[in-house]
Amino acid sequence: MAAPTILYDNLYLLGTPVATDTAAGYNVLNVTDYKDYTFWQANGTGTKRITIDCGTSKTANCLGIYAHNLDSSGANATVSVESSVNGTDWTSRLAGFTPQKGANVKKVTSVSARYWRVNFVTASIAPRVGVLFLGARLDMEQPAETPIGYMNESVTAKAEESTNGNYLGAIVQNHPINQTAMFKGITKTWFDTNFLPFVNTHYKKLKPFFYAHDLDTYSADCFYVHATPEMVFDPQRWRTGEIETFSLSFRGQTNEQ
Amino acid sequence: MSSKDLISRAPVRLVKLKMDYCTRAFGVDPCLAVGTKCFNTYFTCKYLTAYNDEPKTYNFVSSQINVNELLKTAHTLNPVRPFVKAATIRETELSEEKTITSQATIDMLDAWDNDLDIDPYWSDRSYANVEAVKGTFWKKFIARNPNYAGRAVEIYDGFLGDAEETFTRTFAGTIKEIKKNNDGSFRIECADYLESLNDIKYPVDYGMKLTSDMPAIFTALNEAAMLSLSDAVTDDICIRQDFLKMYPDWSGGGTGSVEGRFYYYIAAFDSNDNPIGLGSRGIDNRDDPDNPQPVVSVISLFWDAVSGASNYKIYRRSAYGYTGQYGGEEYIGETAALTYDDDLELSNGTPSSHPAYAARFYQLTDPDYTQAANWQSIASSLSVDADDTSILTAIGASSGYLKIDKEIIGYTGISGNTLTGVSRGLFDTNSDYHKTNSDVCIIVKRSPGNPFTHLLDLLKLAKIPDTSISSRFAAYRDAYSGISFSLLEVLKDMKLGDIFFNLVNSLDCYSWVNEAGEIDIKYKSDLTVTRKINDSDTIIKNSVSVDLNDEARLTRLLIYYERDVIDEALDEPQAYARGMQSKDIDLEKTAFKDIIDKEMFFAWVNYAGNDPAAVDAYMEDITEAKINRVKTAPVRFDLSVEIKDMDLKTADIVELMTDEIQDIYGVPIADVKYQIMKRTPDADNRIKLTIEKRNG
Repeated sequence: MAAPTILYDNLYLLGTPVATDTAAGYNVLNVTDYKDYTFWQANGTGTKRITIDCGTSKTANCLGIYAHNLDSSGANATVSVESSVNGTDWTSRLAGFTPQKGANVKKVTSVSARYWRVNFVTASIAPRVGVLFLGARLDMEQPAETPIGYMNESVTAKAEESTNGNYLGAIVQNHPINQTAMFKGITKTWFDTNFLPFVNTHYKKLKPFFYAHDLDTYSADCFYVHATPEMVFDPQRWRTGEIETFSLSFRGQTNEQ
Repeated sequence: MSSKDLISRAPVRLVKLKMDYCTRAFGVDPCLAVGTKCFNTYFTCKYLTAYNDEPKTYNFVSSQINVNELLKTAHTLNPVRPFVKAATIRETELSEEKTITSQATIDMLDAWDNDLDIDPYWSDRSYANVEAVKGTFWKKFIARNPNYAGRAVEIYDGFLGDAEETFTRTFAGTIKEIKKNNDGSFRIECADYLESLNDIKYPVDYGMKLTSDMPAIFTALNEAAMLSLSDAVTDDICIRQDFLKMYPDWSGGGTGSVEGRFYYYIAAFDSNDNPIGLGSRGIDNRDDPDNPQPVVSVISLFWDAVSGASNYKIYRRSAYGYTGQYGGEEYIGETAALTYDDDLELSNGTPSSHPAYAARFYQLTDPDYTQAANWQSIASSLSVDADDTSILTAIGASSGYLKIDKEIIGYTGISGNTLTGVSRGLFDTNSDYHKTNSDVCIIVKRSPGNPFTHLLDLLKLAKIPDTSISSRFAAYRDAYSGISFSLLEVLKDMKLGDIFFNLVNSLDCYSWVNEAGEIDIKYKSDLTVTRKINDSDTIIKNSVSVDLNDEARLTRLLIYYERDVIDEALDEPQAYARGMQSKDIDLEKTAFKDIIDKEMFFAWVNYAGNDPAAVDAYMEDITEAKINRVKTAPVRFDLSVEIKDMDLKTADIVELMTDEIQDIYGVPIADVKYQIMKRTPDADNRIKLTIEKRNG
């Protein structure tokens, strides 16, 4: 069993993303604002790209996409990732794939490069993306404790019956997920070096991030989530320094609407 | 199939705000602004003379909605913010006399906003990335649009997965207020257009302004009085009224006029037909306007001779009432004698070359008002220049009355943006000095005509957009064939909505804001059934309560019409010449053993333009219909229906089948007509209805 993956790093914030073209009202910068209700959309079909010049070489090894129309029931896009050291010659770092609905997290060949781009190839519907992360992933040092509540989905809904008891109908608003992953046996060094920066710059500021339970085995079980205002981050440490236990709670939406 | 008919669906509430926004580009001719760039809103504008408004629409949807899913079928909504935490529409409620207007309260979430679709100069502000943009959406919105009040709000309801075109408008109105809640959200209070109508002060300020100063006007009976006008300053005008003015009430006869109250004017003319006034006051004892004499059937006027006069001309004007009501003064004729009575046929001349009533106009050209040479004779026809008189033309008010500050003026014509034939200081108001840009407010007067045309003109005066007026107004107008309705001037300050609903009630109609956000109208007598509702597949379990509505009962109605006093309020009996009572004696004596009465006032129902007998018959029918509706208590139900029945609308007639009420044999009522008086979508996406029993 692989350890969970967190993606909160985003090279697209290091400069100004540039799109091949953009539909009116769909600024490409919208893919970097964490919001799942602001979008970039290309001004047509074909091969469209969002490119970033990081200024200096930066490492990326993970791609995150959320709030999009790229899945097979929508634009049926082929998404791939390339890097370049000069902005002219490009090398594939992630082969083309068609995203699933909702959140997608994919491993990208890890290299350091100044220029990165994500390609979207569609035939009949212009691609639209709300959230796009490309950066260095954070792989947890240990797998989460089992059993893993990898869905914990609820429903915001209401149903009505008539005076005579007939079922009149239901309204279903959304399907929030509320998950908690518990970790044990984490080394203090790894915790301080790799995990606390995520907690301090992201998690406890309630900034959204991608979370994948096990990218190698269950690649579909990934979500775009954020901590809730009620969050308590309470790691327990042994005298030896090893982290005995801590849990990570977050909230998001199911990938199937 | 619409998603509302599915067994499981996700409703979407869409809110649109339309705010001021400039079409110009900062610093590009004709915008010559320099420095830090604006946000293209009026408040942030740095070169207002070039500001060119074209409202910008901001879209918001329910916070539970997945915007990405929404845009798959309603992509034209982008950009759209899922900020609508709750949108409560307190729907309109029909009532017998005046509709309770609809209001909307929208609670909006607030969040950090990247400004990308709002700030046209985003890329010029040197942000390192989007995270460098500061501030939350609503705080910035208010800072950039502090003049939000009165801007348009629309609310639509639809379903996730449906196209935007299928969304139905459920509210249209304007922003009244935006407040910050203590939980960080913002509350937008909105009023519908009917409430806006009720807020509009009457006389109506439609936006007309004076484009030049208006001098004060003085009146003087003769030259000596004019030369003692110590308050007059340069450019002021004196109207010399060197004529005899009498003010009797008259019961009719003689020259053919019907009864009423009239001013009589007698002016002396020399042999060259120049007015020379009437230096000596008349000897008739009925010349005091504040103390009109009792009604007389024959007017006899007599006066003192004026030195140099070769003849005397007699004019008459209706104060209010009948002959001349819409036609101004009437020239009676001229006589060399020193007496006139209305049985006397005078030789009619042509008075058009003379000032009305032989009044003469002088303008002060020098501060020294005591010198006759400083008073220059001017044309008698005064005019007023306004910046835009198009509304007067649009509502057919080619002549009428206006109010500037506290003064009422009359005009007889419109030429471009100039009001011609202006009379100043009417109805005992002072002819004061009025500065440029003073508001020119409209006093409504309507000639006999189609009542639905009158209603549409009132809505035009209230600046209600055509898109917010139901087509039923025009349909009713086109089908109308009844008596003419008219309105004399209303001099009292009031609200435009009172005048509107007075006519609606005179027509025995309801008017309300319908679910499409349009002002609608419907005859109360229209009982066409649109739907059936019942316990089986419509009414939600445990949602019913019954009000026997005993307080709505009425046994007699006292109505007033034929309004003939213009300076009384519309709800004062003394403003009307006619009254009529309708009562149900049997109910009072046997069933209720009680008298429950009410007064109603019909300012728009007048004999003018009608056969008086037809007017009386109309009023009898109206009062009978009103009494019949409420002589037995109309039972009311409060109940809720599921969202699949969202097409049940206010004022619809439904047939009800329920065992909540039983007949005298203990059988549940079936197919009884009820009217939807109130419809309120609640926070649980139920629709709460208040329905009231109808006879027939």
